[in-house]
Amino acid sequence: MSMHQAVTILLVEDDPGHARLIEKNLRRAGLSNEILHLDNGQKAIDFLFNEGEYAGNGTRVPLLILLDLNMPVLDGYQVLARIRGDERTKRIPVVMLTTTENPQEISRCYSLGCNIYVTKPVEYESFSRAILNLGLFLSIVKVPEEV
Amino acid sequence: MKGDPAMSPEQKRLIKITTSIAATVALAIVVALPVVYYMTSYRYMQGALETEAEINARNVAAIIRSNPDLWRHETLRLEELLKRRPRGGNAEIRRIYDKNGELLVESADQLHRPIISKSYPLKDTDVAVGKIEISRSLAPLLRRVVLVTSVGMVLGAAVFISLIMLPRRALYELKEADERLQRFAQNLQETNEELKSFAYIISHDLKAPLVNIKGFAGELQMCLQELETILEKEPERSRGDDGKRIDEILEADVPEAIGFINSSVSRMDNLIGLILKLSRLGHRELKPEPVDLNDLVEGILKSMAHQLEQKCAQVSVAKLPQLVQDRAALEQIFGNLLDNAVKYLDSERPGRLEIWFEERHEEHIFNIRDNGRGISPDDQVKVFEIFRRAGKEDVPGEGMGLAYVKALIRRLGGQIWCVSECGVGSTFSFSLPSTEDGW
Repeated sequence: MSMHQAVTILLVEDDPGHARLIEKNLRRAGLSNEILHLDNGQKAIDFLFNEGEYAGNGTRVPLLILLDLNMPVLDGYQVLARIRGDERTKRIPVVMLTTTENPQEISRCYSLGCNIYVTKPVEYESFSRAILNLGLFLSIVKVPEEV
Repeated sequence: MKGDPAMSPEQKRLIKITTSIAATVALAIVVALPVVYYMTSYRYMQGALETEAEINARNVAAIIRSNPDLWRHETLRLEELLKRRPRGGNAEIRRIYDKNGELLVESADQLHRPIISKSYPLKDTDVAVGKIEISRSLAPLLRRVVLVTSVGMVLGAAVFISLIMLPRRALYELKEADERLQRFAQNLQETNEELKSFAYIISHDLKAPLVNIKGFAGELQMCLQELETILEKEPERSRGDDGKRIDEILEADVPEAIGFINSSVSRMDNLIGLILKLSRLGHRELKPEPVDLNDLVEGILKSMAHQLEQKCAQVSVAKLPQLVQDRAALEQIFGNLLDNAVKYLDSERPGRLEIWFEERHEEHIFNIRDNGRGISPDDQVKVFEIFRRAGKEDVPGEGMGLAYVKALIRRLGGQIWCVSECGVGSTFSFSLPSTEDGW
């Protein structure tokens, strides 16, 4: 596990409740990585590209992004498209989070290049399980080296 | 309206054709009316002059007969004869010539040119001895022809204008109606879009808080369990009234509250899911294919064999047609209706189901009759509404089946209705267009 400590998880989620639940469950799954919570898509873009209020910060890599689909200002699709469209960020693993299992949304996310897709179920058990599985997945995932 | 850019080339051609027709008709009226009038009047005038000359000639003949040799010198009598004519008659010149063409007598009025003349021979026992000639002016006739011409022009103009305006007016009305229709269509489109975004709002915005409610209820539950394990490690905790109350809170009150929160959230999530399902129905792509309804219904009944046996139900299926329709939609329609029919059979008497169809004008009517508990008249419309159920709620259901079926049938271009009597049974009927008939 120690070799993955360096991976910072960027959680982009506008609903504070959801963010808190995701964080709690990831911790419960045994993840001790740093989790950075941003509450809208614009902040995520600013953070990733050192723009706006994050101007001047050096990019922190490696990263893993948990991205909510439905957000004000910039939604998950737009953020994902920016991430995949830029040479600096296109290799960052992105996990999409959403409330519905609309097949059209799922396929759109994959075509934009997300790595996996997790629905936030209302059933708490399945939600916990999904996040737990995600945590286990994250603990074994190997973030590709920057070329 | 002239040169309206919104007019299609076809409409422009139509206008051109009707304009030329109108011009032809108007021109025909303007030309034909005076020409026909002139010709008939001229002919009438000729006839009148001839008759007049003939009558005069007969009168003169009486004088000739009594004085065969000397009649030419009876100028006074001849003149008197010529002057004898109806009062207020037309201006005329009447002349009598002898056989050498010498003028014997004349009775002359002032006549304007042009002049029309007619003569009639004077005879003494079949031998021509001279002629009588009557002349009239054509001027009054020509004046009347001018009058008729102007009337004809007015008439022609009126016909021209109305013939031109009628199709333009009709096209204008057509365009207006078309625009109205397009406005309706646009309204409908907007309503549809609103419904779509409504489904989106339901799926995203309403589900997000539910995730929190359920999630934090779970967190509370976990906190509670942790708290209980901590408290169990303290056997020496005060066993007073407070301690008892703490146990009560931890073991009964809080779990009860969490239980209600959880079950309500689940129910709400379920309802949202059903609404979503119904709203997505409108967007699913239909794949029409030849479907033999006999096989389809038989398959459904086979899958329901156990329930049918439980209710001792007899099913009679008449021969059904083959349709070109979406198979999944037909399966769900028949499946839901048959499931309902069996679910609500009366356990007091053996069940009987009948399925048959009728062919009507360009549509098939399918009927499913049961002898179940029936639906009261008030509820017969309500049963098709979302989340509404009728009668005793002793059979499990979501109140969704018939709303779903109704939406499906409407999507396929049909309608559904039911006729029912409490305690006797229900007949659910629905129509499907037969234009896509597979035969």
